[in-house]
Amino acid sequence: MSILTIDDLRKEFGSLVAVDGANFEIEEGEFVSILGPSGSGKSTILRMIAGFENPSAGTITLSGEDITDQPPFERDTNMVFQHLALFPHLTVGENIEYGLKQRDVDKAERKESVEEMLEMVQLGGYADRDISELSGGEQQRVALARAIVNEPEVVLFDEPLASLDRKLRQHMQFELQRIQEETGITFLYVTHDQEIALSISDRMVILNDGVIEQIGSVEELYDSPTSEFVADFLGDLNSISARVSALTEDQVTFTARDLDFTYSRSELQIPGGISLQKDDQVDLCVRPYDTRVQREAVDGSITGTIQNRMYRGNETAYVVDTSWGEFLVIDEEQTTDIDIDTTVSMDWDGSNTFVYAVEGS
Amino acid sequence: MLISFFVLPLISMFSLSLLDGLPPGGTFTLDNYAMVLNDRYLSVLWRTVSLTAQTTFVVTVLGYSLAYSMVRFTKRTTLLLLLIILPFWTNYIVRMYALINIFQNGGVLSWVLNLFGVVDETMGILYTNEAVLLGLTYVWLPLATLPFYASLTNFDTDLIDASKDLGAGPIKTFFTVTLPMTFNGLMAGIVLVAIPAFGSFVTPGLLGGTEQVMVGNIIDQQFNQAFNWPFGAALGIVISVFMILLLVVSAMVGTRAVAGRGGENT
Repeated sequence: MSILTIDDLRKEFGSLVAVDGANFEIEEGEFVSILGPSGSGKSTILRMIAGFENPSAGTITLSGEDITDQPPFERDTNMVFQHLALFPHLTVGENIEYGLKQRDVDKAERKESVEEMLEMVQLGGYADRDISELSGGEQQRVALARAIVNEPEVVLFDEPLASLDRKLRQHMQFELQRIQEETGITFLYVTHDQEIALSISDRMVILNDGVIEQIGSVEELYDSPTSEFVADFLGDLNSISARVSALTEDQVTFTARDLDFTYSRSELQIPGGISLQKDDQVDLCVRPYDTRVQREAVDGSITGTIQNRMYRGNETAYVVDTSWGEFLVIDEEQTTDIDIDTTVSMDWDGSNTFVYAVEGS
Repeated sequence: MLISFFVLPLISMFSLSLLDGLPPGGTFTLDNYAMVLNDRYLSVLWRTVSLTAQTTFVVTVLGYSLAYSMVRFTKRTTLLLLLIILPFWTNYIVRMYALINIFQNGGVLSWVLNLFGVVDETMGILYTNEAVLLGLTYVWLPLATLPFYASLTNFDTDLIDASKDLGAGPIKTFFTVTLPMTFNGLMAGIVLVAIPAFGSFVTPGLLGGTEQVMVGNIIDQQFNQAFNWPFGAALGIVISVFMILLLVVSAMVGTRAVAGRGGENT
């Protein structure tokens, strides 16, 4: 049975619909991320689960109990806040035992739990320190300890790692995964950073404009995104709009302006199982990693000039300016060495091409 | 600046209080301080302390509730703040005479009380302890509300959410998070009220009559009517010592709260 179930959850702020009919389930012990751009309603969903916002409609069920109308202090969830919200007037130990105190756990037991938690987040012996004496990373650990010490059904994370530098953030991601495995507590993590979501979670919920676009395992979402939004959000996309100009038993030809692209039907990625018809308007999309660039202008392919190139240590990225807009090409093997302002052409394989129907066509 | 406006007057007051007549005459004596210990003046001093404590208490409770509701329950904060500051633009004496009108026998207050059948006579409360208390509360409430308001708006409401998230109800949250986090503003408001209330003489003079005299009134009398400046100065010094003690205590409590617990974060 799922530990947390969200049913047709909706939230309106005046005339603005922040969350529009969200549905998802989380299994016990899972690490799930809600991923979406700023303003997509992901924090609102989290705040409704925690009890800080009242849903306009829908229900929230935690371990079989309808908690939709429960105040936050009666819910068996704990939150790690975006800005941590540690109590500055209490010590590290007092912060962690705050939740236990509210449940009348006796003093000796509280002390023991606090010590245990501090060991777990690798802050042994920090109990009597002041919050202001801690570094950003240490404060993150205290906030985490304060939430999990209560052994809630679900721990909610409101992008707490966003403020850390890259290295520390990666370290904390591993820590989160380790602690989640050790405690077996269900984690629900909200973020706009696809890199974090891809690396820490078992499953992801992709949110766009208050609507859930897709739910699935990390691999599922990356390899077969059902919408262009999801594909673009999880790792960029080069996209051209085209028309289906010819259809045969096993081949499709797309026409984009004066260029024809012919692919075998079986190799194309057509998510959502849409069936192509002649004259359909579609977007052909390719990931930057699957796009190749070569120095000569080849007839029948997209040409442009290199506008920018970036070394990223183990890969080279090119920004190619074309009459179709900017293309991003990432060369992982670093077999190319092309200077800025060089005229180039690009191509890709049909097996790496996603075809999305353009809405309203 | 500090020396010419604060230290020099204090020193001249202090030396004046040690004389038995007006300068340039007068010889050294401690009689003025001995006179302070007279029963009549001790009872005035006691009444002053008690009225100040009552005023401070009422103002703190009312002002904090007012500031709290302004921060948490309404969006028209600017308008409300304006209304709170508004009385400052009216002359103090005018406001006191308005209160006399309200408090006196057959005044607005007794009329309203009669309307609701609380009292049957037309007796007002002018020249009573309550009148002075209400007057002082009315005058100093806005002054205390402002620091309360400032400290309440400055503190991160995420902390309240965090407290509730960890299982504390609204009342528990108020006493374990909101109150400690706004402690410095609370102390500032208390000091801002206690000091002028302790030294006030216009309000008790006008609303308290001859019965509800405070130290400020005695000093006023000594300087303006009895022309016993040295005794007035001695009383003034006594008040100053009280004030300084109050400030030191509040500063000590305040710094302990900050230093011991890490103070404000962000």
